[in-house]
Amino acid sequence: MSQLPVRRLQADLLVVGGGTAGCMAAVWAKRQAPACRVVVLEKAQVDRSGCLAAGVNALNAYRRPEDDPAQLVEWVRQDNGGLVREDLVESIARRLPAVPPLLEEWGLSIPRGKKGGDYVFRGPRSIVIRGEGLKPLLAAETRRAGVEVLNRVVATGYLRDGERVVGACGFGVREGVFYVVEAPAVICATGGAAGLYPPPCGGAAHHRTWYSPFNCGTGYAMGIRAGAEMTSFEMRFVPLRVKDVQAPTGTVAQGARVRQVNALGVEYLRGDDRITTADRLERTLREQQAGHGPCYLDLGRLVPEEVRRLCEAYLAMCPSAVLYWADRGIDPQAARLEIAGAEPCLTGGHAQAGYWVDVDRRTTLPGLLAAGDVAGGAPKKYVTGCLAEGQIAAETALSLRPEGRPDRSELEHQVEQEYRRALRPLVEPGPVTPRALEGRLQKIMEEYAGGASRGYRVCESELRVAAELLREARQLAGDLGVADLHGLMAAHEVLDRLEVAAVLVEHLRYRTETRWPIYQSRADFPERDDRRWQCFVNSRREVEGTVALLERRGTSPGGWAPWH
Amino acid sequence: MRVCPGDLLRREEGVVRLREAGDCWDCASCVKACPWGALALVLPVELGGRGSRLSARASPGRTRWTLRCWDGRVEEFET
Repeated sequence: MSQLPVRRLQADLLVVGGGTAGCMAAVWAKRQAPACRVVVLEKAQVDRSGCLAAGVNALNAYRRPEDDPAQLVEWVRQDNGGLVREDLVESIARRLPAVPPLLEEWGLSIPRGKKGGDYVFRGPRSIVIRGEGLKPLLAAETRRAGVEVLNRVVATGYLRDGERVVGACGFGVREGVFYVVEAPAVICATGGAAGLYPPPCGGAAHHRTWYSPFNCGTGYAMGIRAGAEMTSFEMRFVPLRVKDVQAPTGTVAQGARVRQVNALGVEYLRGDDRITTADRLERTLREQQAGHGPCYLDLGRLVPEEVRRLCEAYLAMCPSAVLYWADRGIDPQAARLEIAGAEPCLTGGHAQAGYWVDVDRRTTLPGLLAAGDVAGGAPKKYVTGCLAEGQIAAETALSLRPEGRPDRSELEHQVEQEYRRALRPLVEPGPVTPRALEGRLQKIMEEYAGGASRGYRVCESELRVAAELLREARQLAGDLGVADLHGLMAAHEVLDRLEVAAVLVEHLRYRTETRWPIYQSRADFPERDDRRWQCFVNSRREVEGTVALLERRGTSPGGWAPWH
Repeated sequence: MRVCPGDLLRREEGVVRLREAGDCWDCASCVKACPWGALALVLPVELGGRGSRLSARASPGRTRWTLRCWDGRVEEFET
């Protein structure tokens, strides 16, 4: 295959990524302005794409209408080292009560308590849902709203008119078409980045990761290449999981009262302690380092009906867990489930790596907005927060006015350049396979940028090596070669990860304190230093390719003025 | 084939094949979507290897799961 036909579209709003936030943004825009043409570029197939592919059994960010949004903001702040964009978290918190009823309207089944009134709470802010089919419901609503979804299109880069983003390019992985979509407003709503570090298990279990392995940081990478300001990449996210199957421990720990015990059977963490996810992981690592591992969730007190409910809860979001128990002969009723930390990833939905946005979700590039896992500064937004952000971004996008016509010849020049860059591994194939380069990247990150085997800790001397090795790896990227369009998608996945990893390492180097243990642990600066570091670390890639780091201060709601 | 989030299923001489077992996320989207109920999740040797199978039939608002353990035990679930 040598050349792809080019297909051009003109939209009023382009949404890159048809996951949780992207679907909501598209639907919301059509609700507000039914006449506008909304196009979604989706890398997979919108019915089962993104983090919700397998489903989700709870909505972990919920607020009752009568509860004060400020309480939720305070909880998120305390849970995240006292440094979050409170204005962003508050804007999400305000919308949270309305999200579950909207999903119910779209067909989601949410169980009610015995009296038939309130939802069933799993924790103070978490409600149980029957969410195995949540993504198909969102997709159906997207279609019903009249959104044009281009499935199986891998986005590669933005189109620019000066600073302004005026569209995006991508290639159809099944049909072999190069897409050029122009729009006066673009919402980036892709996933974060998995696969920066080696997965817990290799070989045929290579993709048995917690975070979707198809989230490769493409939205981040597109922003980095375009010179958008990014924030808090140093705050990685590391979940504590049921070992091997990557099933959530929260479902067990919160849904059923179970104990977290070490190999001696000693309960090292009480389930009712008010502790963070990172604390639970850190205490587990400490037990392992003391020679008391492995660690377990002790399910010993479950009755058969509870076991059944647990299996069904897992089938609704992580089905292979139940298969794993069966295949290994583990009886969840009688046994303990081994737990372990997973590999670090970047996601603005749990931690806060992402585009630096204002309260209306404008990025620093005019015309470009961000919502969901790629939007930074608002951790613990989860599914409902992503949906809320999709709404906010859609409302802002509709308020943007096109600013004159972009320079045609300049635009055509960009399309030509992006076409050549995007297709190069296929048109001029080199000897390096995407999988091999991914292995190289993951090895560097594991060994020198705080992988699981290093206790997640980093230090300047090692990070400097990581930066140097990543530069070498990026040179190899020019020798990528693939045989077909599916391979070309894999090539872009590793190219985007390399882009993201290089920025992540510079962020880790810059913050010389430990603000978020495990997520960001400096062996050479183990203490938190509020006097120096009560600020966000942001970055922007300069034209010459270097990463410029900058600090942003001020956390009070409303303290972040729009910047254009 | 239509829904796989990793674009991993393709038709080869009339047979649907998985491109690369290691690229599968185990999300079971294909298992639920298959109109013939012909697909099932099986764990690779790295994690299991005894051949237990998890299959599913989805209807609007409900999915019925069948777990066929390697020792012949069969369990049914509903989500």
